[in-house]
Amino acid sequence: MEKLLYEKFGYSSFRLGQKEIISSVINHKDTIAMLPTGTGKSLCYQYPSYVNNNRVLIISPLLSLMQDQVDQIKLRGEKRVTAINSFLTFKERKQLIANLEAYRFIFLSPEMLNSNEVLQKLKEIGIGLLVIDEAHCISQWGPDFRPDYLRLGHLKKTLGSPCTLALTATATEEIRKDIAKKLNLNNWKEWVYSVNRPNIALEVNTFNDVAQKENKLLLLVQRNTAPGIIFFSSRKKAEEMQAAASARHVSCSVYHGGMETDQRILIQQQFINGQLDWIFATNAFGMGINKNNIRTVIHFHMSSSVENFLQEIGRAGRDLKQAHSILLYSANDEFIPLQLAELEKPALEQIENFYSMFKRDMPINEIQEKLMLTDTQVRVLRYYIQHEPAEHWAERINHLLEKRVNSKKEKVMEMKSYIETDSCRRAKLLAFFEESPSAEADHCCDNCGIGNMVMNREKSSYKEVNWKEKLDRLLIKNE
Amino acid sequence: MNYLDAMMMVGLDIINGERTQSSIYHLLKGKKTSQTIQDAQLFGVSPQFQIYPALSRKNYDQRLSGLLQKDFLAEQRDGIIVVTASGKKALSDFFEVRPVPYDLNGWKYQKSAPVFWHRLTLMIQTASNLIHDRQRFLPVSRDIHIQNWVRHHVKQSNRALLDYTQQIHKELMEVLTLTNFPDTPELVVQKLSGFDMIGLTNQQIAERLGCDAADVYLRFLNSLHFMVAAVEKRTGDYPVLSEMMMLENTGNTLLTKSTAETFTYLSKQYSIEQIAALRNLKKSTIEDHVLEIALLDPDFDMNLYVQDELIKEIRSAGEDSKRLRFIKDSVPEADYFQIRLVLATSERDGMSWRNYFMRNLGIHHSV
Ligand SMILES: Nc1ncnc2c1ncn2[C@@H]1O[C@H](COP(=O)(O)OP(=O)(O)O)[C@@H](O)[C@H]1O
Ligand SMILES: [Mg+2]
Ligand SMILES: [Zn+2]
Repeated sequence: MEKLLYEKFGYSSFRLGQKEIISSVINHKDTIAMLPTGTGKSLCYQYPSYVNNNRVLIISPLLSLMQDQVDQIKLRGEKRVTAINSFLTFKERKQLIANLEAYRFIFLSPEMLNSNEVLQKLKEIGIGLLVIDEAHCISQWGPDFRPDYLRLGHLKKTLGSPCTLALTATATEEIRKDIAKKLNLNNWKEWVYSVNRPNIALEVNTFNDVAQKENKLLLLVQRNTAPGIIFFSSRKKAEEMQAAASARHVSCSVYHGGMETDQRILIQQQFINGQLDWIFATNAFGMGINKNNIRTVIHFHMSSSVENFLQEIGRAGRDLKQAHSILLYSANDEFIPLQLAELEKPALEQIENFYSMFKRDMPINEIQEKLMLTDTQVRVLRYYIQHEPAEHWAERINHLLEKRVNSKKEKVMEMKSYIETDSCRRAKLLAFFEESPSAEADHCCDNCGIGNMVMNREKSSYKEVNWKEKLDRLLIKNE
Repeated sequence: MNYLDAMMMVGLDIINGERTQSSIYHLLKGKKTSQTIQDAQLFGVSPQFQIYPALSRKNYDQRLSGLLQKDFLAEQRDGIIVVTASGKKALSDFFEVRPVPYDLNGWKYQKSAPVFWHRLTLMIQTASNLIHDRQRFLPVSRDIHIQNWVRHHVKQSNRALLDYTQQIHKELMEVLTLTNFPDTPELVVQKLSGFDMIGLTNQQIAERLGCDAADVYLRFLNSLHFMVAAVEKRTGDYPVLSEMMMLENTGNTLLTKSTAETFTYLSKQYSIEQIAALRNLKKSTIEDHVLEIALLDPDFDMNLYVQDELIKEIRSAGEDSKRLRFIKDSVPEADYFQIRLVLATSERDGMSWRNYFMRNLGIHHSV
């Protein structure tokens, strides 16, 4: 087994859990696998394809992430990989679908599940392994519910029920049950590993006002070990703080969804290449990037759930060396995520109007504009109108969405209780997943005492030069 | 005020209330409709065609109301917006301390400039990594056509690769140090990625140059169009760069599909009426096609449709106003199609756009 691992992937050994999950998949068992972020779930669907020599279909919820994954598979030398998503033009999609048989790994974004053309083609070429990445999105009770994911049961049937692998980093037992049910898994095997990342030390700093918090952040990026990421919930704040840090000669850039794709690619690659020390980002950043030596993750704004928090700090210390999570909290910070949860739900009146306009065949974008609905709201309502019976539709959907708002708010409050706890933060985090810390972490949390952490930072050789010198360096090989 | 504001104001000032402000949005965004395409030529603003392909209506509207608020623009009536005297003053002050983008040629280079740039950057990234013995890297361009092009053109053998890379270096040095290069080459070179060096973003270049990121974008575009023009003029001196800007099927790739069909009939000497009958389309539709072709085909012979004498009369009436009605009244023997054809083609080279800066803002060409 290790020989193939080295040849195809260049790794010398499996990481915790990988061998078990891979064996289960190779033996055609439906499998739910829960491994913490950054520990190597992608290997679990790539490796079996070379053993069973079959085609793999991967459903992945985030467009940007999908492209990163495609790039990374190509990077290790596998050319037969592609992605079908809404980035493609009509013509490109046609061409790709006509030629789909040529690919070993096919990534598909959830909204493409609505295309019969795509489904038929997938059925025709045959899928040996169906992979649901971030499978917790299928559960209505999870914080990242994606209605399109509910079509996965149908997809599985259309494809003739191939072996299915559901991957997630964070799913409570309740959510895992829900995943199995929605995917019609039978006789499945569950591999659940601790969400604990013992090499990440946990720290929370509390402030009375925002100004104090801002000062602290500027200190941290000057003193703490880079490379690092600072997460913000607002683009504007990220930009503002980055400008302030830049003025203090900190090597850094912003990254958010409002930037153009080519500029975002450059920032990502600069960070990977060691040209930048810190990225001031919204949570759009970093999930898919392959950078193992991130040492520090700072939260300027709290995450909206414990699950997201784990995902975000999980980008640090993928090389399994010491890393550091610092959350900066100032009074009433939970107000924003609570309000966002509220705002995400359309009002009863909007739901009722949506129903009648939809039944009158008004075009969807017109409805969206008239009722001032967000893209997500439209996606959700549209799904329910197609899949829920008409009787008392509006009231029922309203009730359902209300429940979701409440469960989101609960998630925010869970996060707040992590911030407020005066006992071990690691124990607190793990308790949300019905776990308790098994091994002692060297540097656990500020409440247990972090002590003196030694973190080495790799210096990069990158240096800015003027255009003539740069052109020489790029294109002339100095022996 | 930044370059986007400036380009909006220049456009609005040139159309001078004869079209709605929306037409400038479509122009900058590069909307492919006969109206936008013909207006671009008619008013001589074709250098600004599609220079902001990613511009959102929201962003445009915001900049517009900003300029209205500053009284640089005034709304005469619904949708009709003109540049005020203080707006003109602001524009010439703006260009007093910044390069005028004289080399922009959005209409002409709408396809070739982006293709050239993407091929160049990916080729340099690829060649740079390969000569430093790195086989694998994350490409800066995800466009599959660009990737395929580079894959087909990058040299396989070591010797050939080194020669090729050196040739790129030589040609770039040459074009970037031309005495009339319009701006600093930092704008171009700092964007490039390669072995152990990832290119800078507009924002990062802006910080280096001490200007606005939006300005970096347009100054870069101007430099890029300069490069394309310089290479095009002397392809013999730039064998590698000129290959990079060659479009796959040259000729009528810029035409819309229906127009391309009309073009085929025209080259077989069919008349407009015949084509309309054959294709079961309105005569005016075919006339639109002919106009579109006239704008793109340097060999187009206008005399098939208008005689020289009439051309002269229409041109001189066009000096006073671009309004078709006005011209029709002064040259009653011309029909509307002839008028549009003459006006459109007389602005093909974008000269009046370049002259605008001198005539209307009193800025003199610095190079
Ligand atoms: N067996 C292994 N040995 C060494 N590195 C590994 C191994 N498996 C995965 N990795 C690395 O771990 C990182 C995270 O992998 P990924 O599959 O993206 O994680 P996940 O999907 O679980 O968040 C990648 O950088 C990958 O190269
Ligand atoms: Mg993953
Ligand atoms: Zn602890």
